[in-house]
Amino acid sequence: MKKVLALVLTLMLVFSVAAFAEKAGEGITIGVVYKQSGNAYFQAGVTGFEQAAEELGFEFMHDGPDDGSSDGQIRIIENYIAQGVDALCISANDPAALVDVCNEAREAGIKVISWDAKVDAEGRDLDVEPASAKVIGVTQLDSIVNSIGGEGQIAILSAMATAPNQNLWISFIEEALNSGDEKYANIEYVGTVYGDDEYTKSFNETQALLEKYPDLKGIIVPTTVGGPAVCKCIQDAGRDVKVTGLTLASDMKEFIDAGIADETFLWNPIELGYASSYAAVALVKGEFTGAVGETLEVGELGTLEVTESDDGGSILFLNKLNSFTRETVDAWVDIL
Amino acid sequence: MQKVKSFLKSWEFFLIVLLAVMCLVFKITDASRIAAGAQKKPIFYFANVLKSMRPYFLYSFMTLGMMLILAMGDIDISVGAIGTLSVVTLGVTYNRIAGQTENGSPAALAVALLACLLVGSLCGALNGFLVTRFKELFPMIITLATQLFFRGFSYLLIGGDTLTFKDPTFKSLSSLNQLLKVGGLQIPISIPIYLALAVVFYFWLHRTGNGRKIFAIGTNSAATYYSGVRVDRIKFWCFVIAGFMSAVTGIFFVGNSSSSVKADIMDGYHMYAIAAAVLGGFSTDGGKGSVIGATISLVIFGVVKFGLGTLFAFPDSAVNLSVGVILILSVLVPNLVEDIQNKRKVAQRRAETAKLNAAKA
Amino acid sequence: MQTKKERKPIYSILIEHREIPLLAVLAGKSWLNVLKNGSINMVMCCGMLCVLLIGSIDISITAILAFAGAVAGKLMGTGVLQSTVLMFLLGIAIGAVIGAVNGVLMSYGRVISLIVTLSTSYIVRALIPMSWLLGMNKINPTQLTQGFKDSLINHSFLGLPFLVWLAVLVVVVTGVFLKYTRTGRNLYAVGSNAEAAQMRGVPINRIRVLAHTICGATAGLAGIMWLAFYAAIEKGSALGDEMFTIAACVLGGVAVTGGYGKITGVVIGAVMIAFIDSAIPQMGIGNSMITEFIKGILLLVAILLNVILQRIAEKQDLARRNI
Repeated sequence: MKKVLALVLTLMLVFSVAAFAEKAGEGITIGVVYKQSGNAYFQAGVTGFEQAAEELGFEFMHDGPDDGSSDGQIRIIENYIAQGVDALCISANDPAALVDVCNEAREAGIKVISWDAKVDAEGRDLDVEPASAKVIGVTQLDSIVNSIGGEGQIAILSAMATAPNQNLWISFIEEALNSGDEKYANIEYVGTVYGDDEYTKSFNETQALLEKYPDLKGIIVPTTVGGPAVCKCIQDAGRDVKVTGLTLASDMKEFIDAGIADETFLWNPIELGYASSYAAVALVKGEFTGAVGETLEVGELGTLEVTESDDGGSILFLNKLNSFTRETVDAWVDIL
Repeated sequence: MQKVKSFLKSWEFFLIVLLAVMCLVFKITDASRIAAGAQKKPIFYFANVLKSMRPYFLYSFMTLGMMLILAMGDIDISVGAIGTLSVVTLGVTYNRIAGQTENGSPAALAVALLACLLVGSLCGALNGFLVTRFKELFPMIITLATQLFFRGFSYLLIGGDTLTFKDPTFKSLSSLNQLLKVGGLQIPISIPIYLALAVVFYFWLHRTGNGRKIFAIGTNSAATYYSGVRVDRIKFWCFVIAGFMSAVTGIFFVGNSSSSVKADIMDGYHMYAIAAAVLGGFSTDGGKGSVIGATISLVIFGVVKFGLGTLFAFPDSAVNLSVGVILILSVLVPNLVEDIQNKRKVAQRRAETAKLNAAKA
Repeated sequence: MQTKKERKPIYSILIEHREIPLLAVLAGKSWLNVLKNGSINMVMCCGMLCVLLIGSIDISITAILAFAGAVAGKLMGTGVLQSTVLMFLLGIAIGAVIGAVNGVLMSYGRVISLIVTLSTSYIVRALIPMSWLLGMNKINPTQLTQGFKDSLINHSFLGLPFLVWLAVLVVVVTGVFLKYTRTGRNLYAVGSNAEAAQMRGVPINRIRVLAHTICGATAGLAGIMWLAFYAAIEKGSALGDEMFTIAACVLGGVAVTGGYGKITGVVIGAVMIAFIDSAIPQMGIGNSMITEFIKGILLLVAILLNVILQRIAEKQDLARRNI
């Protein structure tokens, strides 16, 4: 009898181990930190983590500061360190400010991944980004050039003047405009204004733009908060100005249908979260070091290769940019 | 015996009890979460809590300055902005002198630090000047205006850029953010420095005549003035000290943010400083409060934010909710208790008079 | 006992010296934008005036704005509430309740209004991202009915959109209330000398609660106006803007110590703040921090000039009487 019992127990143990083995991330806890709480874009990112958690079996916690500040993020990261997470996935409000606290986490054996917005190379193990900054910037520029028929004045409405992502994209847009390319010969770029990722501020800045440049033809809005504000302002003013940019489909559906925006873009933040969690689990398990040239199996997304980033660290690009047009926006409304 | 009794009735004792109760609740939650398998190892134990106090002691220096202002019955909401401007000055000065050189220069850092503290004090002096010269105006309105001014000025200095310094000299500021290792414990450096300063402030405010004058101003400014105290001068210097403390906070902040400097930092810090001071017994009415109380309330806010964030998985945005509730209750409860005591006293006297009347009759 | 002297309002100086370049910049049809952008602040200013008059202050108004807008927007989004009028009533009700809580804590609980409203703003803002309200999302245009979105912007009367008329209505009602009703005048009495007012039989605590309730109600109304104007609301909407509401009142000559302030001054103060908001982006500087910088300087210059001129006037007064 005892032997039978022992056998049953052993079998149970074996099966349970087998059951564990099916899910690669069992027992791993990941702390996800994003830029700001109450931002639908990051809600989508968290959905990606949820999907991956179902497949891999890891647990995760997520939080972002109330005010979008880096010291708020530092506070959250320290709380996660105190709770003993295995990996951190951070979308940084400032690439430089988080380096020290990230290194402290790494000393404690925690793997640090930045996603969506980087932490400087010396403070991270890997950076996961949707596409290279150049692609993101130039795609938006080409789109607005098409929308307005190749000639006229364009402006940019960005987020905070200190936002690193936006500043990088804008620098590539400016570079393309100054490259002497035939496509942009009749485009006049009037400048960038900053809406601070605040709805009213973006609205007021757009109003001022419209008044100051009566011949303005197009506005590029490389920030999800600004998009609907700019479109609403143009709609109220009744002007014929086209908009493109990085926006959520649900925010923009109304304005795409109304013809204010022909096409807007966004990578899929769900996929971004999904890929980050695969990378985090692989790093924690030691199957993957995040060195340049390595490859990573990312579930549904296939195999991705780590490349070297501008700042000398390693980076993982998804290289997928979705476009929302009148035809495709309905399919995305409930997702993003 | 009398001393013990008055201690048991004091606000500080209440704060200690509050802190103890909170620790107990968190400790029990911690244990039950482990038992339930919700977490693998304990989170809420002394060493871990102490180590995690670091972000909550960042604004402790600002709180010291705010105490002086509140004790006089004034308020200063520009302290956060003063910190920003001082830090930006620090960054810009250092950048001008040493630039982005390989090793940096200690002399440049010393100059930059001096400039930072000087600018902080000067901003405080501006506040103090305006508050003492324009008594018709509420300090809150004056400091609201100067807050916008300081914040805008920092922006004029460096615009939207982030100044990041990678040379070892400037990086040494990060050591202000490190943890002291003392026999298995890791203590944030800001805590011993704060405690040392708090002792100085304690003796100055509560044990010297000069310090007591500050409370006297808060209780009755006119009476204090007529008893020969140079009210304006004391007020002015208190604002200067508050500005200086903001600059000190700013230096710690640079350490906290990996030696980088930006124009939009420390936004809203004045509210943290006010909240900690008010829970510590200070009031915008002036004339009361103690350094010990403020110190305990700094710890309370730290413990609450840490406990709610880690054990109860409160999102960062909801942690402020607890701050709001604690703040209201900390003022409301003593008022209610006082009301009840007054009522009881009145009832007692009535009963006595009734008795006397009955005896007379 | 010190008597309240008639003050020379700040805006008279500002119109003489500062406003002219701004007006020049704003030539054209942008005055309509100034009025539109200023209306929401104007409504809150009316409530703030009531609170300042009793010598109190309310810094929770923008938190109330965001909360009322979020609750109403959520109800409309889930289909519970479809009527535009009910939306406005709901907003006012939510605001009034929170304002009343502020008032009760401030008057009966004897907690300083700055602390009360600081705490309620923390609490109310923290409720918005809770999962039963907005969670991580915001209210976006698709969740609102077309009728509601059109209500304030696309309907106009005498060339002005309803948004502006609503602000005018609130201003007129507040003005009449403060000047021609006994309760309204009691606000001044409580603010200038609470003890004297109490002696004369003014129920000071009830007046204080009333003032805070009015302030909350206007903030709630402002939340719905915000929702209708911008067709969106989120957790951080109007964060920190309460300072500009207070600034508008101070620019308009309202005494923060209580007892003095006129609705006409407040209107001009609010319009000036709106001017700055609209004019600075147009000057091509395009940076919120510079806007704040200029608002700060303007506010400082205005309040200091006010005091200095008052002193000069007093001196001349004394000199004239050979004292």
